[in-house]
Amino acid sequence: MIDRDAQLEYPRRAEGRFPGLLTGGSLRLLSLLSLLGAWVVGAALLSPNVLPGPLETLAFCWRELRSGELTFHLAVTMRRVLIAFGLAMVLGTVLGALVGAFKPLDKLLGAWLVFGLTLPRIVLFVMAYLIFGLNDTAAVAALTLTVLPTVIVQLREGTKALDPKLLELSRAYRRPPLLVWRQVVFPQLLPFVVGTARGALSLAWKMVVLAELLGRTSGVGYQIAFYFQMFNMTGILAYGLAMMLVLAIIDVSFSALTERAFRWRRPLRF
Amino acid sequence: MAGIVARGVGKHYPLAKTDKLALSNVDLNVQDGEFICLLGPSGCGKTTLLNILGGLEPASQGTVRFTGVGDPRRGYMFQEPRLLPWLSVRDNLRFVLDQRTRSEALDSWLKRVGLGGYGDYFPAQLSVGMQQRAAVARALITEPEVLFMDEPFSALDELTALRLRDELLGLWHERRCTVVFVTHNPLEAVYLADRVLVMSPSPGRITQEIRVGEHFPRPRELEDAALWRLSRGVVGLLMGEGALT
Repeated sequence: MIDRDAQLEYPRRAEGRFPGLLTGGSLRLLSLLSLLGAWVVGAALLSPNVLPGPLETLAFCWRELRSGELTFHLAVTMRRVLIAFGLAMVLGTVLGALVGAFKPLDKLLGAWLVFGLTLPRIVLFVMAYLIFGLNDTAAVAALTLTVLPTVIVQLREGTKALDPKLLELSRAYRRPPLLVWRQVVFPQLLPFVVGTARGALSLAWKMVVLAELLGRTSGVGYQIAFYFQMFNMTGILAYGLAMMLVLAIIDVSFSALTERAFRWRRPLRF
Repeated sequence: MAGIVARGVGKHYPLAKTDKLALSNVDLNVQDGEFICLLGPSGCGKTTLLNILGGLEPASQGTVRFTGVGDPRRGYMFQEPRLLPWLSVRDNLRFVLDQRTRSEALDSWLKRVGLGGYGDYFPAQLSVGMQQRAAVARALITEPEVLFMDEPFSALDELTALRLRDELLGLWHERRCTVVFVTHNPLEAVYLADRVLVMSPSPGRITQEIRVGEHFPRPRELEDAALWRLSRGVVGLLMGEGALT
C-alpha cells in the first residue's frame, strides 16, 4: 500500500553550507562592517589630514550637531533639493506624458532634450548664476533644469509603453477620460514615476552640493567648500556622511512606498 | 433591446505601397436577442468585423446601425481577460459601472460566476480561468443589450472552457441579450449559436450561413452526435470542401 503522506514529503531546499548564518540580514550587516573596516584600515594607513577615521569624523559630526550648524546647513540644502525635485517631477511628468503621447511634439522637443541631457551641469549652474545672480532662485532653477530632461525622457518612454489593449477596453466601455487617466493611465506610469523619482532625487541631492559650492553662502556644499579651504578633511567627510545618511533614509522610505504601491504585482503562493 | 444591421461593410488598412483589404462588402442582420457566431480561420477578418460592429474601429465603407431604441448598452469580452492588474477583482467590475456602485451588488455578480469571496483578490492572484470568469461578470454586469465576444475561451484549457460556455449560455438565457461571438472552433460555434456565419479570408467576407437553431433546439448537448457531425461538416467547409446542405 502506498503511504500517501510519505509521498507528499518534498525534499527540503538546500540552504547553503552555513544554514542560518548567511541570511539576508547578516549579509547586509557584513557588507556594512566590511565598508567600515575598509575605512578604518585606510585611515590607519593614510595621514589623518587625508583620511580621518570614523570615530574622529563622528565626533566632529556630533560637535556640529550640538552647535546647530549641521542641522541648519542640511535643512537649507534639503529645502533647495525638495523644491527643485518637486518642480522637475511635476513639469517632467506632464511634459513627458505629452511628448510620449504626441509624436510631433516629441520631434519638436527632440533637440532640446538632447541638449538638456548632454549639457555639462556645471555650465548650467554658471549660466544660472550669471543670469539670475548669486541667489537661491538661480540655484533652484539650475537644479530643476539639471533633473528635468531625465524625468521627461523616462516619462516619455513610460507613456509610449502604455498598453493599447487597456485603452481599448476603456473605449469599449465608454469610460470618462478622468477615470481612464486615474485608473488606467496613471497606474501604468507609476513605475516610471517612482523609478524616475528615486534617480532624480539622488541626482538633485548630489548636484546641489555643486551649486552651493559654486555660488551660495549656506548649505552642505558651502560647508564642504569652506572646510576644503581650511584643509579640514574631517569637516568634509562629516558633512558628506550626513548627506549620505539623509539620502539613504529617503531611499529606504522610497522602497517601502514602492512595495506598498505595487503590492498587486505580488502573486499569492497557494 | 437591440438588433444589428450592417450593409456593405468594408475595411482596408493602408500599407506602404498598397492597401490591405481586410473586409469586403459584408451584409449582416442580427435579430434582437439572437446569438450569432462569426467563424473562420485566422486572418479572415472576424475580429475586424466584430470591432466595427462594436464601434471600436470605423468601417472604411458601408454602414452599421442598431435596431431598437437609441444607442444600446454594450458588453465586451476579449481573447484575454483584460482586467486592470492594479485593481481588485471587485474594483475591476466597478470600473465599468458608476464608481459609487455598492460592493454588495458587485459581490452578487462575482458569486454568480463562481468567484464569491474573491472580490479583494488582485487578478495576478487568480488563475486565467478565474480571471476570464471575472471578465464574464464585467461584461454582463452592465446589463448589455448587445454583447461582443472575441474568442473569449480560446486561451483556456478545454475543461474550463466547457464550464464557462455553459455558464455563459445560462446567463444569456436569463438576460436574452444579442450576442456576437467570434471563434475559430467549429464545435464551439454550433454548440453556442442560433446562427453561424462562416467567413473566408482575402478579403474577409461571409461565405455561408448555418441556421443551427432551426435544427438543434436548446438546451443542446455537446456530446450530441448530430451536432458533432455538423461541426465536422463546418470543418470541411472551412477547408474548401463545398457548401453544407
